[in-house]
Amino acid sequence: MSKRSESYGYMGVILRINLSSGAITREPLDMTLAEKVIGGRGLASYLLCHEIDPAIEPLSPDNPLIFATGPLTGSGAPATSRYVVVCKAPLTGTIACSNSGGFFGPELKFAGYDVLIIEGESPDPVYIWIDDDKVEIRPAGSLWGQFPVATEVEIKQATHPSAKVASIGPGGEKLSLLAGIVNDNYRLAARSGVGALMGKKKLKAIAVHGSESVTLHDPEQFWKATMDMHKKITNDPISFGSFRAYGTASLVNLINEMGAFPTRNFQSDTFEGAADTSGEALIQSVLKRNRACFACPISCTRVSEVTAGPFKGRGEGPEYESVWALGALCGVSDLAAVTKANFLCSEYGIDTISTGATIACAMELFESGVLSEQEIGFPLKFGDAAAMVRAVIMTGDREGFGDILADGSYRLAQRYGHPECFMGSKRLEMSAYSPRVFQGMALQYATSNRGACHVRGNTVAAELYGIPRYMPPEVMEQKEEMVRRPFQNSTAFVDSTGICLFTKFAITHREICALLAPATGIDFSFDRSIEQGDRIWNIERMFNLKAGFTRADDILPERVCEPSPDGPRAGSRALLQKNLDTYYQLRGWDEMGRPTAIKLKELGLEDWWGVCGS
Amino acid sequence: MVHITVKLNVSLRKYRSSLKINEEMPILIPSDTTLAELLEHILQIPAEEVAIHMVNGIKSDMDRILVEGDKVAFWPPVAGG
Amino acid sequence: MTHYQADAVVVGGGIVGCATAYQLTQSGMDVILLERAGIGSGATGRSGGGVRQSARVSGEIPLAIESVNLFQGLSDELGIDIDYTQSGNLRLVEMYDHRRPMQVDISRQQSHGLDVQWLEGADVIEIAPALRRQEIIGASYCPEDGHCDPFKLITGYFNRATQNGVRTLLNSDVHSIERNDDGGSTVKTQQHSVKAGSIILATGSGTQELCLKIGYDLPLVNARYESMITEPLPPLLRQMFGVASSDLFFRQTQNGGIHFGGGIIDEEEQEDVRTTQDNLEMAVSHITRLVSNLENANLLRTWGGLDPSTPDGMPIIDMLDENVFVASGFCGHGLATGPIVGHYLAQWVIDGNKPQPLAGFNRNRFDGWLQTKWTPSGSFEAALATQDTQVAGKSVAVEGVPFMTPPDFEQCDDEGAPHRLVVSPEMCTGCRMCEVACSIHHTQSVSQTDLRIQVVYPSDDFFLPIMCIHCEPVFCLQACTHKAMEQDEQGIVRVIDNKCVGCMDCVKACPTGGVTFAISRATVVKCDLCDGDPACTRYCPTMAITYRQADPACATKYKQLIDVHLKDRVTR
Ligand SMILES: Cc1cc2nc3c(=O)[nH]c(=O)nc-3n(C[C@H](O)[C@H](O)[C@H](O)COP(=O)(O)OP(=O)(O)OC[C@H]3O[C@@H](n4cnc5c(N)ncnc54)[C@H](O)[C@@H]3O)c2cc1C
Ligand code: SF4
Repeated sequence: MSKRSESYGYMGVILRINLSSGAITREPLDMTLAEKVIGGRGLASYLLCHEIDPAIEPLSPDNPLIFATGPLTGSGAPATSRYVVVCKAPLTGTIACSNSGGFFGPELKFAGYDVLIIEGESPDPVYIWIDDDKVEIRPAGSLWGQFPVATEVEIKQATHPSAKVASIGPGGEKLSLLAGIVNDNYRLAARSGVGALMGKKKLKAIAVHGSESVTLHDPEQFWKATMDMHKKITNDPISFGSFRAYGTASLVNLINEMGAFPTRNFQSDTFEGAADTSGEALIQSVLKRNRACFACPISCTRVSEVTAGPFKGRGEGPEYESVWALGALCGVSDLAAVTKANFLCSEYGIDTISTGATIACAMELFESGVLSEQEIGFPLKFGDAAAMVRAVIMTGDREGFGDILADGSYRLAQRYGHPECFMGSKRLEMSAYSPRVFQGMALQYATSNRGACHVRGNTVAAELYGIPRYMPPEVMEQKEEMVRRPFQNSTAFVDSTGICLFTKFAITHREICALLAPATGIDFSFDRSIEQGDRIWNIERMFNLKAGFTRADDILPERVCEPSPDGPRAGSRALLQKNLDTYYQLRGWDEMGRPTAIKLKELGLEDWWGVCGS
Repeated sequence: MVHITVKLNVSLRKYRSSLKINEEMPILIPSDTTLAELLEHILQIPAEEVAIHMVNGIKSDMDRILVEGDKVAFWPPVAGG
Repeated sequence: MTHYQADAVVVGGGIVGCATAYQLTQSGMDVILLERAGIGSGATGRSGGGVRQSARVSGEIPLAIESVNLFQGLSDELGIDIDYTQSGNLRLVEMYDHRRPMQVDISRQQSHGLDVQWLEGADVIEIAPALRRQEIIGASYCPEDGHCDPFKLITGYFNRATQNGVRTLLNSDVHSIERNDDGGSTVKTQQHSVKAGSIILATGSGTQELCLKIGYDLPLVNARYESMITEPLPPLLRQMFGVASSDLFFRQTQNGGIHFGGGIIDEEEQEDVRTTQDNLEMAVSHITRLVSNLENANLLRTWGGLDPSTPDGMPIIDMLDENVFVASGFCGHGLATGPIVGHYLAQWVIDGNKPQPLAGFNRNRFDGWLQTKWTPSGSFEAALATQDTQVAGKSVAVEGVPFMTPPDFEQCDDEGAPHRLVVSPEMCTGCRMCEVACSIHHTQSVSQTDLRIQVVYPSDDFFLPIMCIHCEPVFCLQACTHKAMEQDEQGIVRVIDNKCVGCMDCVKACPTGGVTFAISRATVVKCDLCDGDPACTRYCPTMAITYRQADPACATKYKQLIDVHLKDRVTR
C-alpha cells in the first residue's frame, strides 16, 4: 500500500519501521485526526502521546522518532516545505518538535507517506532507503562517522541521484544532546536533541525518493488561493524584501540597538561587536547568494563561504540566532569565525543555539574560575574567536572537555555547581531576544512546551515590528493573551500544516485555510484553526505534565529576572511571575498549570488521561 | 540647535552610502525638531521605506521632539527567526 | 561641406564642453570641439562665478565637494590665475519665518558630509561687515565655498585643450547626428561633417532642441538669469552671497565690481537672454537694502543668460545611445561642478564604464515625470529645499545584493522574434515553483513523473530549470518516426498524445533535456507554452523564467549552459 487514492492533500499513509525487529508496516492515516490536529506538529504530537508513556527515558528504544509532514507539505503552495521530528526530547525530557525545510519533507509525501515512525533500536549502524513502496533497512557501513554532505553524496550514489536525505552527523552518532537531524546537506531540525535519539537508534540516515503526486481536491480553487498567497508574499517587504536580500541576520543591529541582544551568557544586553556580525556585514563578506526551499518565494537561505584564513569553509547560513549564539553570546565579533562555527555545527549536526549557549556558559564558568584551563585544555575566554571554534569542534567530537559540552549548558552548569549559569528554561537554552526587555518573550520562554525557544511564539513580531499590532516590549498588560493566542496557538496551527512560519509576516490563518480546504476537501476554517492551535498546545502541555513537569518548571533563570546592567534598557527585567497566573487562567488551566476538565472537554480531549486537570 | 546622532540601517544606508554599518552620523539640528521632520526634511528619506524608528533604543512616536544627545536609528522592514 | 574625423567630438564650448575636451586630450584622444557661437558665449561666460557646495540638492553634494577639491589646484593646472578664492558662501536669511527651515536645510546638508553651519545675525556681520545688521537674521555659512572668474576659468580650459591639440570649429551649429555602421557617429553642421567614435553633447540651453532632433525628449526647460555689474568699488565683500527667500546672488570681483543678479522664471515665453527693467530694479533695490554704501554706485553693464533646469534640480549626465553622451540641465549652478563633470565624463568616454559619482544623474530617473508637465522650481534650486522630491531609491534592486537586481533583458529582447521562455539562471533560487505550476496546470496535481520542466542543481549555488525552448532545428520532431510531433506557424512544437508510442527517440534527440517520458501516461511530454500564458513564468518568484520575444541567440546561450553544467547532471 502506498498513497491512498481517495486522499487529497494528505497521502493517507503512516509508514512504521521497527529497527529492532526490522518490521516495516504501513497503516492508513485516521482521517478524523486531520480535523482534530491537522498534520505535522499536531498530528505527530497526538500520535506520540498514544505511542508512549511520557515518563519513559528519552534515549530508550521505546521512544519513537516521528517524522511528520502537513497536508500542505509538497502541495506546491508558497513555502510548503516543512516537516517536523517529534519524540520525547533527549535534551529536555519535554515533548520535542523540531522543524525543518528544504526538500526532504515534500519528498516523503511524494513517496506516499504523511508520517514516518521509527521504533526500536538497531544493533548496528543502518540507513533507511524509501523509494515509493520499496522500503529497505540497509547497513550504514562506512557512512558512520561521516559529515552529512559526504553522507548525502554517498547515499545518492547508492540509491537515486535525486534522493533526499536526512541524516545525523558525528554529534548525533555520539549521542550529543545538542544534536539535530540534518536534511539537504545543511538544514537542521535542530533543537531538543532529536539527533541523539536517531544516533541511539543507530540510524545514520533516511533517504527518500518519490514518484507519487500530491493530488488536490479542487485544483482550480487551490491554484487561485496559491496565486493569491504568492502575490501577498511577493509584495511583502519582510518576506520577499528583507528575508530574501539580507536574511534573518538583518536583525542583529536592530535588537542590539534596543539593548535586547543578550551578550556574554546574558550578562549584558548590548554587544559592542554587533555591527561586525550583522546581516549587512554578512552580505559584504561571506554571502555568495540566496537559495530556496521547496516552492518557496522567500528564499532566505544564505549560501556562504569564507574564502581565506583560518576559518575558511563553505556552507549555508548563518542565521540570526546562530550569529547571535556563536557571536554575541560568546562575545565573539569575528564574522568569519562565527560563520565557520556555524558550518561546523551543520557538519557535526548540532544545534547552533544550544552549542553557542553551552560554550558561552563554559566561558562564564572559566572566567569566574570555576573551570580551569587544565580541565578545558585551553583558556576559554569570552571574545576568543579561535577558542570558540575549537570548542565547537570538541563538542561535535565529544573530545576531551567537549564530552561535557556535548550535553548542553543545563548539565554543564549543574555539574559544576552553578545552576544559575544555565540560561534557559526546561533545560533548553533561550534564544536571541532578551526576556529582560521583551516581556512577551519572557512569558513565551517560560511556558513554551519544548523549553525556552523563540519559534513557539515569537512575540517580537508584535513587540517590535507591530505584527499583528504593536505592543511595546516593556508592557505587561494583555501580554498573556497575546502570547497565548496570536503566537503560541497560531504557531501550533501553522507548524501543523506544513507551511513555513516565515510566511506569517505576509499572511494569516485565513490564507492558509483558503489553501487547506481546496487541497484536502476537508472543512478547514479560520474559527477551527484557532481551536486546532489551542488543542495542539494543550496536547503538548499534557505530555509534559505526564513527563513530570509542573508549574515550577515554567520559570526563567534568575539572572534575567534581575535588572539589565547596561544599555538603553538598563534596569529592565523579566517580570514573568506577574503574568503567569493570568496566562494559566486564559488557557483554562488550574493554578498549577494543568488543563481543567472543562477545558479538555471544550477541546474534545476529555478521554485524555484522567490524570490531568482537576 | 541640538546635537544628535543618526544611524541608518540595512537598505536605508543607500541614502548616505558613505556610512559604514552601524556608524553613527552626528548632526546638528534645530531645537524642537521632531522625528518626522528629521526623516522628511533633513534626511529626506521616504517615510514608507522606514518600518522601525528608535530613539535611544526605544521605539518612539514620529512626533517626538528630539533633544540634545538623542541617538536616533532607522530601519526598513526586517525580521528574523 | 568639409569633412573631419576625430576620436571624439565635443559639442558646446561652455565649461562642461571645454573641461571635457581638455580631459579627453589629457588621455591622448584626438578631439574636435564644435561651438555654435563663441567659447563661453553660453551660460558659462554669463555666470555669477559662485563656486559653492552648499544650498544644493542632496544628490549633487558629493559631486560639488569633489569639484571644490579640484578647484583648489586649478589655477596651477590651467596655468592661469582664475581668481579663485575660498572665502565662504553666506546664504542670508531675512525673515524669522525662514530661520528654522534654513536650519533644517543646513542639517540636511551636514548629513551629507558638508561642512556648513548656521550663523546668527551678529556672527554674519562679524565676517561680512558691509551687510546691514538690521536686515540679517542669520545665514547658512559654508567656509569652503567661494568664487572665481568664469571667463578666466573657461579661457584656461580652452587654452589648455588647444595646446593639447583640440581642433575647434566656431560658428558651427550642430543640427543632426547620424549613426554609422561602425558604431561611431557623424555630426553635421551647415558647413561641416565630423565623423567620430564618441559624441559628447555639452550644449547647455541648446540641448533640448538638439536632442529632440535626434529622438530624445529630455525634461529640460531653459531658465533665464539676469545679472549686472557695477563700476569698481573699494573692497566691501569677500564671500559669495545668496539669499534664502529669493534668487539674488552677489559677490565682489577681483577688480572691485559688484556682480549681482538673479533668476527669472515666471516669464516662461521669453526664452532669450534679454534683461528687463523690472527685474533689474528689483535686484538693485534688494541688494541696496542688504549691503550698505551701494546706493551711489554706477552700473556698468547688464546681461542675461540661459541655463536649463530639470525637475529635481540636478543635471542629466548620461549616455543616450552607444557612445553618445549628454551633460546638461545644471539648473543655474553648473559652473562650480563643470570641471568635475568634465573629468568624469572623459573617464566614462575613455574606459566605457560609468563612473560611480555620476550614477545618480541618469535620465531614466525622470521616466515618471515625462508624462506630466512640470515647471522648474527656481533658478538656484528651490530656495528652501524642504519640498525636495526624492526620486532615487524606489527600484526593487537592493544595493550590494547581486541576486536582488532584476535581470537585464536588453541583450535578448527582439521585438520581431516570437515569444519564448527565457531563462536567467543567475536569478534562480532552485525553489521548483516552476515545476509545481507546470504540473498543476497540466495534471491538476503536484506530479513528480509528468514534468515538462525540471530544476537541476549543478552546484550549491547554481540552479537551472530545464525545459523545451522550442529551438531550431526541431531535433525532436525530426527524430520522431511516428509523426507524433507537430509544429505550428509560431514554431511551437507539441506532442500528439494518441500517436506517441513512447519510443523516446525524441528524448534522445533533444539537446536541452526538454522532452521527457511520463510513466503515468506512457507518452513523452514537453512544454507547449500553455497557449501563450506559461504557468511557470507566473509562479516563478524571481524572473528566472520569463516569457518574451527573444532573440534566438538566447536559446543558443541556454543550450551552451546546459552543455557546460549538465555533463554530471544531478537532478533535484
Ligand atoms: C546669469 C547666470 C549666473 C550664473 N551663476 C552661477 C554661479 O554663480 N555659480 C554656478 O556654479 N553657476 C552659475 N550659473 C550657471 C552656470 O553658468 C551654468 O550651469 C554652466 O555654465 C553650464 O555650462 P555648460 O557648459 O553646460 O553650458 P553653456 O556654458 O551654456 O555652454 C553650452 C554651449 O553650447 C553651445 N551650443 C548649444 N547648442 C549648440 C549646438 N546645437 N551646436 C553647437 N553649439 C551649441 C552654446 O553656444 C554654448 O556655448 C549661472 C548662469 C547664469 C546664466
Ligand atoms: S520557479 Fe524560478 S526561481 Fe524557482 S526554480 Fe523555477 S526558475 Fe528557479
